[in-house]
Amino acid sequence: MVSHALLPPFPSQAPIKRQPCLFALILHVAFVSSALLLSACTAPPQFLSTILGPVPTPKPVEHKPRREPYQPPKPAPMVEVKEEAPRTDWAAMLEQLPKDAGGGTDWVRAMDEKLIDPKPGLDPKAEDEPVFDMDLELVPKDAPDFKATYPHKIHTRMLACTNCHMEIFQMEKGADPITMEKIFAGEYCGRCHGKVAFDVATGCPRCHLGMPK
Amino acid sequence: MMRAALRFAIVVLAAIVPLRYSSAEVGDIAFVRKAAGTEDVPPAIFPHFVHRMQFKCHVCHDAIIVMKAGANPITMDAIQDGKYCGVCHNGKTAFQATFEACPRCHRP
Repeated sequence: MVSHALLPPFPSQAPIKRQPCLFALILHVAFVSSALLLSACTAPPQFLSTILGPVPTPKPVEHKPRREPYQPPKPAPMVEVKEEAPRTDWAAMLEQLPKDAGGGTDWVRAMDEKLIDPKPGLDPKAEDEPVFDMDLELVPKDAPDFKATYPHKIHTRMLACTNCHMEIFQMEKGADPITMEKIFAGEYCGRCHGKVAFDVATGCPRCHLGMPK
Repeated sequence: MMRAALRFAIVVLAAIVPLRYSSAEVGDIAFVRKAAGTEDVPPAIFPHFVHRMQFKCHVCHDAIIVMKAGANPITMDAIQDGKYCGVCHNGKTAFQATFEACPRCHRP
């Protein structure tokens, strides 16, 4: 038993004190980081792009000219030309308007269809004169079948009362001896019709409403 | 009988004569020059349709222009003074009667 007492205690029974091996740790970190660095430098770009995102594509470099291209100076005009405002093609507008049986412009239809809107005065605020709605029946004594109907309504849309009364037409019924000869000769209705209003020769049914169109 | 024949003749003649108006410019008025000394300038032509597309008849008739041929003593001086055409053709409502605008009325 003595010998037993002299021997050092059995190692398994002795308390093992673990010392941190700093050198081994440094060696480990250095190895891992160098391996990562090596793999980052040698690996294909897909490897890094999975971690860092897609590789930015470089923008193409545009080389601008160093100075503006040379423009020879324009000679100054001898005469100043004023640019005129574009003119309205009235003849083309007239062709767009509806035509009547005689081939002339049907001004009443043009106004009805709002193709033209003649102003009632030079002043933009001018108000229109009221339309006078009264149909006159002009019956010839010797030929009652050729009675004509005069619509005040259509005429007062464009004309004022004083345009016709009293210079061309009297106010009293039957006071004016209107005949077709006088109209063709440019009196009474012929003051306008055949000149600026529809033609007398082709517009028969527009006054003589009973006539076939 | 004679009267009836005359009546027929007038109606037929009058029916044929206005056909010359059935052009695109119905109602145009070619003014007859009475002043002497400006024969090299063509007489003015008034396009009725251009004006009636914009204004009603009573705007001009009869306050500015009388509805009778030869009843309006229109001169260029009167237009420059703001009478007749000059009521509108003053550069504000419509083009002014300047040297550049001569052929717009005095159409050759």
